[in-house]
Amino acid sequence: MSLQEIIYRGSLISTGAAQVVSIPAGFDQFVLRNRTTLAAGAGIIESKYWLGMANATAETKTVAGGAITDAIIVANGFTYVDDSTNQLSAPNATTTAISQAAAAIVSLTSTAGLNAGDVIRFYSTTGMLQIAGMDFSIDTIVANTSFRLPYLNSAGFGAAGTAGTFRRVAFANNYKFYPSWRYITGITAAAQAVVTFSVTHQYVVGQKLSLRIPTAFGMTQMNGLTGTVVAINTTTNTVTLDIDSSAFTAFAFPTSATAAAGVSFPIAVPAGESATILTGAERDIASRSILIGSAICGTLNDVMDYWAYRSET
Amino acid sequence: MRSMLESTASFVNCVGGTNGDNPTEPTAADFETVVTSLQNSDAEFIGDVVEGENKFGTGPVRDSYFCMAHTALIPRLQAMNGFISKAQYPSQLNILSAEWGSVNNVRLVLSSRGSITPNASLLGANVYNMFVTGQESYTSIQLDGESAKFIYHPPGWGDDPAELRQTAAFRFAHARAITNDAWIINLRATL
Repeated sequence: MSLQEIIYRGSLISTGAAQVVSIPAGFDQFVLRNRTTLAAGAGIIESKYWLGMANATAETKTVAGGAITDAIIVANGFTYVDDSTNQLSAPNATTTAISQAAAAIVSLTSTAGLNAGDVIRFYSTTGMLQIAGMDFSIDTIVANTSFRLPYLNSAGFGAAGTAGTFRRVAFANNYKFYPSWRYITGITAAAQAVVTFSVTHQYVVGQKLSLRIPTAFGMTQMNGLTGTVVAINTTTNTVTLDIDSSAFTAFAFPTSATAAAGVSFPIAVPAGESATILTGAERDIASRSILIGSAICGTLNDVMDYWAYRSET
Repeated sequence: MRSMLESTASFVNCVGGTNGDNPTEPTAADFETVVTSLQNSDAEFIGDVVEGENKFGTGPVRDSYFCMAHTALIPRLQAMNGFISKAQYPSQLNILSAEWGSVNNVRLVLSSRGSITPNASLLGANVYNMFVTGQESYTSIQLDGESAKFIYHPPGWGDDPAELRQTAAFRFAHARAITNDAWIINLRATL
């Protein structure tokens, strides 16, 4: 029996894509109502989720032609996130191929529970072991067929992957403190080096990054150097650093066989900020939250209200 | 503090082991790699030399960086070439209760609450984060007016006319940060 209930409520404007709502105190039930579809009389007007329901599911109410229909959806619904617990999904071992392409395509037979923007942790990537153990942001999901690794240029790899297992990293920010380290998937040789990260980086102009480049990844002259971020590109997930790498050897992933024999990964670690900003200060971003999946997030600019209920016994 | 170090410290993988994973289990060679890197960055040792003495079964301990790791690594750490149990230190002064031993220029401090990154190895095994740190590589700053406070309210406190509810909570605030990213390295290993 519940003696009292805490209700945490708020509103959001839909981005048209999956998004995260922070619920610091946690919840037992989450209700999301879409004012825009309610006014229009068409579409999903309400979605609910209780703790204990499977990730990516939701109970929905859809209005059409003046009638309301209840349904349970099993993909791209709600996912509860508690990033104090290193929360990972069950393993998905249905990968059949990882392509050699400017943005690698992962072919698989089940995309259950995945949303564009998710972070996955790949391992046992047969034929492409140079990425085994790394985390990646994903996008462009084709149901039960494929998804894309937008920030992995595998075109120069020696071979395609032929199998693999991954787990979904449930917390969108990936690590509990900001700014955190990130895996590097590319560095240009240029007057101002452009660095690509495997996971959405969240860095801002003015932050300083120190790079760790193992010998197996080519551009060893960059190892240990610290640069200031002078530009960011959120589409390509890159930062531009004030480091002249034009005379450096090319950055390249090692072969799968070399990786299998043991390598470290190239990473960037936060190393401070220029005197003009304070946004790079280290801070704890661990929280409890809920991921509103793409099936229930509404369309761009929909106005939505939410209520998170927590019972105190 | 553990989460901050997980999130922000640079890392290297153990590669000297033979378990077929990446990272491998820890070896003395991996600790030597880290010690060399810290020395190249002018990181200062934390522990002083424990001088050799004329006692059976003991050996001198070098001046040392400190390594914070998970207790699950105990069998692997003890199996390393050159590992010295703390019982074999010539002197038992200035030894932490959580200390397990030393290897190369690193003294090992273990906890069951040590850092683990789940399923992050080449084969999907848990990766154990071993933070090898020099002096003043990271800091914890207590914030004024927000030092730790334990809060207890007995039954009947507040809106509780039937005296059914009691609550206990704690509250604190402090800031944590790495002060020199070249003076701390996360040496990652599997079992």
